[in-house]
Amino acid sequence: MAFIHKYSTISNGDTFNFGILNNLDGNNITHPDYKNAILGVNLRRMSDIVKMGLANSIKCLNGSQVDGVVVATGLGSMLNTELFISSFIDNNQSILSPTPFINSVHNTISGEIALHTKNHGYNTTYSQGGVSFEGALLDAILLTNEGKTVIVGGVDESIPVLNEILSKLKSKRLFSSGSSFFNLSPNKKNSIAEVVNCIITKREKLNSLLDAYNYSPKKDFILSGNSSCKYVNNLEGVNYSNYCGTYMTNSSYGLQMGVELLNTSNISELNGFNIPKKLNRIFIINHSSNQDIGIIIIKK
Amino acid sequence: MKVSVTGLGIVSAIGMNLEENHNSLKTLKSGISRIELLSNLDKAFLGGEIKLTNKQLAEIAFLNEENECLPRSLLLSLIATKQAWGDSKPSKSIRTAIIGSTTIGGMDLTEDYFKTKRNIHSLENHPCSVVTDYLSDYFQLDGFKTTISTACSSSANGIMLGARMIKNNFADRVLVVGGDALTHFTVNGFNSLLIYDSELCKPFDNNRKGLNLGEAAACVVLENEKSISITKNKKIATVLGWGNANDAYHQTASSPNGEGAQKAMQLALVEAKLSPSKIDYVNAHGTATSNNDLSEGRAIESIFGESQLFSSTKGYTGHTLAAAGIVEFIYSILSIETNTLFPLLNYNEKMSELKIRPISELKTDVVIKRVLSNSFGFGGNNTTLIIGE
Repeated sequence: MAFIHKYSTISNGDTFNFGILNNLDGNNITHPDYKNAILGVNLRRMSDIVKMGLANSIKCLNGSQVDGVVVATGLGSMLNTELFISSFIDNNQSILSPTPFINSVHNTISGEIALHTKNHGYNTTYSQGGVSFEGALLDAILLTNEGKTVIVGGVDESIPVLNEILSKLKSKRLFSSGSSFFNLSPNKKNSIAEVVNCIITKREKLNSLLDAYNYSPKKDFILSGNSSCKYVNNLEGVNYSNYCGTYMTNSSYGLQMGVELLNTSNISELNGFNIPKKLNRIFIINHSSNQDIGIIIIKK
Repeated sequence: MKVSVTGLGIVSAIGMNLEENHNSLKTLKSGISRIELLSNLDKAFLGGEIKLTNKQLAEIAFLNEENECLPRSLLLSLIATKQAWGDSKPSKSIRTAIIGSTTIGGMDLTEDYFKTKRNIHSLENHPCSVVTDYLSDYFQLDGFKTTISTACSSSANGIMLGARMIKNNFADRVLVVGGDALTHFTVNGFNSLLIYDSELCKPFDNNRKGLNLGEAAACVVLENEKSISITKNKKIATVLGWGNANDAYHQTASSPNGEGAQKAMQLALVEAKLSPSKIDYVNAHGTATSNNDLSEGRAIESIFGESQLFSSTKGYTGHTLAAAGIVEFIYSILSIETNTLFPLLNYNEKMSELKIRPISELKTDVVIKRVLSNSFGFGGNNTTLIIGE
């Protein structure tokens, strides 16, 4: 069984220091003071995507060590990818700096986390479009099944060229930056939430899945991401992407929002939706992929 | 729960199917040649290039003309997956997952866009998930799907995840796919790191100068007993063990004594409940870079001692990046099935730092029951798989 012990998010508002529910009116990403969050590292050449992942990981570790590091990123470092492509197109492939090539690799983030937290354990990186984080979380659940502790998170970075491309593609939404990480273990003691399951499947299977889990609006609450659940019968939920913006791994933000809700007794309503008094489970339903949905189910 | 391998598919520079790959390996035929189809490179590069255009690949995959502008890694992956999947069907009573692995996804189309600024929609194929999404639809799968991108260990991690999903009863059947085509991005990238040999690569040779890249895709089908009882598929091999550890030493280089590599191999041996003496052959990562082969060689020596049989097949295919792990997993199965060990190519002189001596001639006088295969990558990634009969 997978229990969440710590979380950390960098997103709109100062979520890094004060959490998500205290920052629901934040409009711009607020980066923490990385010099304090990531000690002893030369940050000058580190891209935001690595800094976000590393700062969140260090916070989730809180000085402890874990058996594994699992990271999800939809696009990795587009900044370095674009930089390296441009360098060989513009230079006509003469002498190139390898630095952007090295930093463009998707697992740069998980690699840097291992390097700077001296973690020699399990290490991997998932990239499955809008459901990248759900794949990483499933691996983290497997690790806890195997008796291991793990930090797992999602991170994506918005850069100008990406939004130029999205505008040209006539995308309804532009991309934001953001990252959330979690510390999971098989131990219930002192945990703040339990991950009941994490599923990736086709959109049309949502109703039957909710039935299979006996979803009840009286006891359960839905956080839905990247579009509402309205096309499904009688189902609505708070759209977490209204708060964190759109990025491929923003269901990790939804997960932290859910964990905070499970641990807060003084909120009865969120964005017009009543939260059940005896809140049992939260379903984080992610619609950011065209064909697939991700469903993360958590309880206290 | 036992993890059986029941389907294999492979396309590489040494063959467009399993039999062709096997024939090339046992006749010591390399697929490395001057890279030609990937045009406009600023100098001559040697690589394991598949000498078929995207149009020809689309024809082999029975795709119609409009699909010619799909990423090359997708075309290669589709051909390999068709071979492994055969006439299998999705089934309500078999929980089937698909795990892709790639480093470049649709990078070839992205490069084209940045060069020409034409067809912006080709950028929709950029994400690494492009291959897995396509295959999942093509084979009508509706279960768990994900893509692993851990550089050169990607598909080894894919097999490891698939095996763990079956062992933990999260899936009954898993398709693991790994595919990377040659791109300007990767050829220029490894060249910028000054580890791209301008001659044929020489893994584990004292005078090795670096790697040659290659392109390949491969697919394996993993099943538990319940799934096999329904599919009636023949068991080809067993995934006995797996280990993943991080070197935590440097972003691209391996530590001098290969601590991460040693740890990954030890973890895999523990998972398989085997002592090192039970491993008949080590299929090394052996990229022919100065750094990898020394670090890996020392790690193998420290775990297995001086008489361990080992070699690398990078001289046949080139380094196929994300596909390397699954390609070599399949070659390891060929070694077990035919009791044959495929030697290094281009090997002349033993490395002065090592006592162990790699296999430099075809060996057919051996009994091979268990093979350990390594895949290492940027980011300190070290993954080891152990394959049995």
